[in-house]
This record gives sequence, structure tokens and C-alpha cells, in this order.
Amino acid sequence: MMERVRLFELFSILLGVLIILVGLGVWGGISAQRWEYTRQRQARDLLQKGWQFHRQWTLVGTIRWSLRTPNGGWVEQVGEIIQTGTGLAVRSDGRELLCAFSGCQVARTDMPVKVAPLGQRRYRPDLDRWALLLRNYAIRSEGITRIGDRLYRAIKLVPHHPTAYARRLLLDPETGMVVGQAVLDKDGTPLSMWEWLKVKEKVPNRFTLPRTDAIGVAPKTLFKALPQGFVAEGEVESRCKCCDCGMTAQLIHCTDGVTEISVYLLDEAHKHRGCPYCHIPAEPKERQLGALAVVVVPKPHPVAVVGEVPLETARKLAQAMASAP
Amino acid sequence: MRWSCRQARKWMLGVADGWAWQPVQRWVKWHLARCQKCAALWRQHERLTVLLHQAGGERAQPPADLWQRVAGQLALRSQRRLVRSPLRLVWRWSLAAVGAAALILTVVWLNQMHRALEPLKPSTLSWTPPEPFVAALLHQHLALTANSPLSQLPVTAGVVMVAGERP
Repeated sequence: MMERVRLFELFSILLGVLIILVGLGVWGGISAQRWEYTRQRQARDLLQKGWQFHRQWTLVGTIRWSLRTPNGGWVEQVGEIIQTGTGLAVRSDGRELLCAFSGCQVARTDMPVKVAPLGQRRYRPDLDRWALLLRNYAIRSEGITRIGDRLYRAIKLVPHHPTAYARRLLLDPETGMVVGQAVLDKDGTPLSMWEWLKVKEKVPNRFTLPRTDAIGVAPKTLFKALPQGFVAEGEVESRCKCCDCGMTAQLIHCTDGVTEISVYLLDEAHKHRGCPYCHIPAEPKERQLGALAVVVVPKPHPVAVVGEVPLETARKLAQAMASAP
Repeated sequence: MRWSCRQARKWMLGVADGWAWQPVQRWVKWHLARCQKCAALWRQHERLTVLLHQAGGERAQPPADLWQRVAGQLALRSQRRLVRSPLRLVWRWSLAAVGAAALILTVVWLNQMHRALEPLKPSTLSWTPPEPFVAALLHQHLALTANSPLSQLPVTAGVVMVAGERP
């Protein structure tokens, strides 16, 4: 009888412990899920804050950028971004790149490349890039990191489709300012990154493309050829102004909310005057510059694709566009 | 058996001893007045109670060696406590080892997390900058993406700036 009582006691204790463990497990699971949800929500809110900050402001100061070369090495540069009367200038190692606010024109002072936008048409005037980002990327919080005496939040943007790269951002929790960004390969290796070393001031973001209300329709081939998650935003027609080669191009701008792809439908140059712009390569050409892929397919129709996407994505898009009637 | 009979028999003992709730007592008595079977059981219970009271008149005496047996059991238990069970020792050391392993794993994991969040320090190597045609394409790409909030503008600008140069 006593043995039975003791066995019953033991059984009761074990059952009690089991119930407590199961209860703790369920409670822990629910708490962890809730905590994870809160973290992701905070990350999303901070990213949205950063998004609005960078739509409103442009920063000037000292910046460091680096990109990974195909042989596994790194190219690193430090430069100054300064405000000029009409735009921003990037200075590094004695070279200067000017970016004009109006029309988003870019020119290097020591290189005879000058491309002027002639006109612009929008395919989707109501395109909401933030909604596009939420549709194509998962926002994950990667914790808090300390740089100097300040704490920053790390956020990872993971694409839902393999046609784009993941990104890791470092954001200032107070302002939402992106202080650093890295584009990551599929295995998590950084391909290119930049970080602010010193921010002097913020100036209103006045980068504008040629203002137009013109609405256009994207080529049908583009709809079929576009990588998953990307949409065509608009097109810009441009002409070379650095010589009289008469080179024109139709530049289609595509985005998935974060990553940008430029599709160049190039005209055969009327004259080869020796400027960089009119020298379309005779053979197909591919180049990976950190996260930036450049693919040129000269035949049957000359097409070039530039974007921070895997080379495979850019190649497929370029080939589909080049072989279109 | 009816439900009311079952309930009445369930509460019969409490009513007999007087600790059942007053409304329950009243209800059971009301039921006994109407149910012959339950009333018979009640009378049987009353007779049994009277007999038990009569039998319990004599006080039971414990065995003479009861204290000796209890004292012996207590001494044996205290001896067992003094001798450490090997199973208990193994259990304690296992628990300590698991705790230490968990601590080490936590430290390693935190270290990995810290390393993952640390900015990488890339080694600088020579490379071939893009040719002028690619640079010309990048000019416009840079112009188009300048307005994008999460663009890689500085990296693209850096590539454009070194384009056309020899390594």
C-alpha cells in the first residue's frame, strides 16, 4: 500500500513538472513570437523613418566606399561630398564628379562625357516605392551595434526573389539616417558597401529628373523580360553632347523598391567621334563591379543593362531585350 | 437509479455528520421522505453509526515496540543522508557541466553576433577600372538613381570616378 502511495506521489510530481515545463514552453514560445514581432515592427518603422529622411534630405561630408573585386580583393576609397551652387560634387584622389540637382545630370570634370536628357515619360506616375519595397523584401532586425560613442540599429533587407541582392543597413535610431549600407551576396558576403565617416550637414534633396507630365507605355517585351518583383518606372531619352556623334539612347528605369536597373536601348552611333559614349563594343560584354552588374549585348539591337543585381539577372534581361523585334 | 437518488446518496454522509450546507440538508431530508429506497439506506447508515460508536468505547493501545522501530528507521535515514549517493553526485556534476557548456555557447554566440555586426575592414588590392563606355553608361544610371532613398550612390560615383584609368 505504501509503495503504491509513493509511486502515486512520484507520478504526481513528475506530471506536475511536465505540466510546468510544457506551460513554460508554450509561454516562452508565445513571448518569443511576440518579441520577434515587436522587433520586426520596430525595424520596419525605423526603415520608414530613414526612407522619409533620405527623400527629404541629402547629406554632405566624408564618406568611405569599397567594392569587392572578382578575385576576392577590395577596392576602397575615401571621398568628400560637398554642396555646390547647383548640386553636389564628389571629390576623391584629385578627381571630381559633379551631380546637378536639376535634371540629375552627372559629369566628371576630367572626362569628356556629357549626356543630356531630352525628355522623360513615366509609365506609372502613381508608383509607391515603399509599398514595392514591402512587397519584395523582408525587413529583419539585426540588433544594435556601437560605432564610436553612438548606438546604431542594423537592419537587413532580404529579397523574396533570387533576382536581387540582400542589403544590410546601419541606421541612426533618432533621425533614421542611413550611416552605412552593404550589398550582400547570396552567401552573405559583402559585395559593395559605403559608410559615412563624418556628416557635416544635411541639405534639402533637390534631385529632379526633367519635369514632365508625359505618360508613356513600356515596351511589351520589357514586361516579359523584367526580373521577378521589378516594375518599369519610366523612360528617359538622352543624347550625347560631348561630341557631334549624334548618339541617342532610350533609358528605361526599373525598380523593385530598393534595387535600381537601367535598361539602355542604344542607337547605333551615326558617327564615331571617339567619345566614350559612342563606342558600343562589337562583342557582348559583361562586367561585375562589386554589386553592380553591367551587361552589353550589341546584336541584333544594341542593349545595355546596368543594375545592382546578380550578373545572371542582368544578362537575361539584356538578351531578352536585344532579341526583341 | 435516478439522478436525485444519486445526489441524495452522495450527500447522505455529510447530512448525517451535520457538515453539509443547510439547503442541501433540507433537500436530502425532503428526498428521504419521498424515496423509500434512499430512506432504507439512511436507516441502515444510522444503525451502522450507532454500532461504530458502541465499538469505539475501548481506547486502542499502540504496540510496545513501536518507538524502537520508529527510532531505528530514523537512525537509518540519517545514516543514508551522510553517505553521498553516487547517482546524486553524477547528477550534480552533469548539471554543472550542462550549465558551463550553455555559458560557453552563449559567450561564443554573442561573440559571433558582435563580429557579424562589426564593419568589415577590407584589404585593398589593385583592380581594372571599367572602360570609358561602361563609365558613360554609369553616368546616366547614377543620375537616375540619385533620388532613390536606399541607392548605392557613393559606390557608383566611386566607380565612375576611377573609370577609364589604368590599374
